[in-house]
Amino acid sequence: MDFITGEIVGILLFFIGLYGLMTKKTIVKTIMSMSIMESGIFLFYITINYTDGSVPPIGQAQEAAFVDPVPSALMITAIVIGIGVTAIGLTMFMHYKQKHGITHWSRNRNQTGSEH
Amino acid sequence: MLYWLIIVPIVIAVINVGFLHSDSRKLIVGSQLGITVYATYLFYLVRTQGTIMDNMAGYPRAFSITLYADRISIVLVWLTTLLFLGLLIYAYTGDYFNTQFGFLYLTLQSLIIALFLSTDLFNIYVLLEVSTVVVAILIMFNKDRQAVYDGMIFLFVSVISSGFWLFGVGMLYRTFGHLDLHAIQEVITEVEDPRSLILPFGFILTTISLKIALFPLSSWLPKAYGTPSAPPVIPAILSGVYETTGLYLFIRLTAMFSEVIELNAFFLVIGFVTSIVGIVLAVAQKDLRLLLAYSTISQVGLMTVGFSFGTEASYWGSMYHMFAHSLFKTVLFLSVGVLSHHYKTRDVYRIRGVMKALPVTGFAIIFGLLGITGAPLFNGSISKYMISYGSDSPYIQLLLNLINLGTLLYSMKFAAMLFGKNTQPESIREEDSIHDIPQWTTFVFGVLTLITGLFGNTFLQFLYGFDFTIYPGEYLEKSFIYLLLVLAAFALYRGWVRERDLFTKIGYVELSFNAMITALVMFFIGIVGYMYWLT
Repeated sequence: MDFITGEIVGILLFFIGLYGLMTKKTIVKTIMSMSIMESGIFLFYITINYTDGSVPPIGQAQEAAFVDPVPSALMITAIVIGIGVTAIGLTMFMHYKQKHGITHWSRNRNQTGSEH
Repeated sequence: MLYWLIIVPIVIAVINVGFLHSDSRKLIVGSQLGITVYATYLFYLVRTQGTIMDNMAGYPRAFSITLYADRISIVLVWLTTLLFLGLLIYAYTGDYFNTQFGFLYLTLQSLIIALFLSTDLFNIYVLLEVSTVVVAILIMFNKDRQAVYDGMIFLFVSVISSGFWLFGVGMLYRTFGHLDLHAIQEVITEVEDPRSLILPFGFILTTISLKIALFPLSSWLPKAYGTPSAPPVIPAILSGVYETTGLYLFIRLTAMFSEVIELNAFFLVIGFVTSIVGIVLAVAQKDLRLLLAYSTISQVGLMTVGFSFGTEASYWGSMYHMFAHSLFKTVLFLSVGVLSHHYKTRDVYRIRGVMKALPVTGFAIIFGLLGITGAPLFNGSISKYMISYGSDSPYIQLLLNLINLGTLLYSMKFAAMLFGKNTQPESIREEDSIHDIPQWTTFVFGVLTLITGLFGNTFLQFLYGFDFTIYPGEYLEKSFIYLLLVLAAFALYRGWVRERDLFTKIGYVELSFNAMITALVMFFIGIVGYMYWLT
């Protein structure tokens, strides 16, 4: 089972998320697919350049290869941004549903509105 | 040094929140003045002493996060601060200018400046993501139904495309162990198998192509720019400055990969297609904002073409067109704001007699239109002249003239509003329209399009340090062709475009959200396939 590595699973998750985005018309499902896609990216990052037997870069006395800490640090930022975006997306969706009762992507466009 | 440009707007934005129940407009305008002066000083420094590089926290280059200002980026930063100041003066009397708006406005400015200066690929991802959120909130500032829907589409499509960027950057990091753009550029030729770069490049280019709205990824743009209830400065910022960030990334990233994978031919074709599609859809619109949004798409196509010819003149021509486009598109979007205030509509067929009712805006519109169509003496003519230098092929010249004909065609539609019987509602005619700050701000931008055209050569040398000789004979020839095109466009407009049925149907063609994402994936597969075929 060598091919089930973090990278492969990450790429798979990314495309599963994309598949959801291409096919699902419900806005909530869009937000969920987006999260799945992002999880794929996070998994991909934290497993790149990992070699067996390497140790964390701080607090270790033994002489062994260090794990590269940069991807993990980047992913903390990316996860926070992901949460922020998901929260904003959900807020917009809730506002939209409560005010106008719409839960699906539609095609209808209404190009009139206030005069600004 | 450079980081002040990024920190100060954010700090002012936060201080401004303290003015929740009082007026913070003077503070914001004052800070904008300061930032503009400082950006001018930095521009002067870069001009005299060369590129400025700021390594954060004192680490050596390629290990630290670097802010990098060369001629290209500092000109764009300078333009950004100027436009933000001008737009702020325009918005000063608007009822939408409150604390919340000020906060979002300044934050967006800081993010855009950071996008121009940053060379760290992950930083760029963060900035893209946060600026997307800020723009989405600005789009739905008035929270009406269409605005929230458009804001959501913009937010989701942009966030998904930034996911592509992040994935691509991860793959680059795995190969190079660097995130710095220039550091990667230095070592990129040492990659043994160029094919290993195809996937990351494909991912990154997909994001950028969506950001600059190349066909078929342009469907989000009219939604975001054309939102009916957004304040008029928002589409002006989006088209004048935000669009430029995408083009800037396009220049940097294609330069980074150009040693290994050369995609000029691909973007030449895509650029032409984008331009033609943008024109056809722009001619079909009757809402002024949508018309201008599609026109932005067509102009971006033209700039992509200029960047893809691979000659120096057309490259800098496109660069100057970017600068010129920011100016004349700001004029046009702002004048649409003025018109919709004074006519209570944005329907291009229901506004007539602007020259009589609002002469100041009328002249600004004329300047803007002459700029966008590349009339002699205006800035568009210089940049389009230089772009046409990129190729000797008669077919390419024909295509460029065709694009200009299309530009003239939708400009005719715009210009038709200037004449005829005044259709202003009775109640508004009494208003004082001469001492109106928004009108005069629009006019000043209009005059700038003329000045940057009259002294085109001087500006080109002043901004980018690029010397270009314009031969009077050829310039006259181009002017003659321009006049012929004007006549042709006028005839076409009278005879064909005004028969609205066909075009009205085309105007309603748009992709649904799922179709946009499918187009994104198709584009990605297409570009990766093309690169495999190429190498």
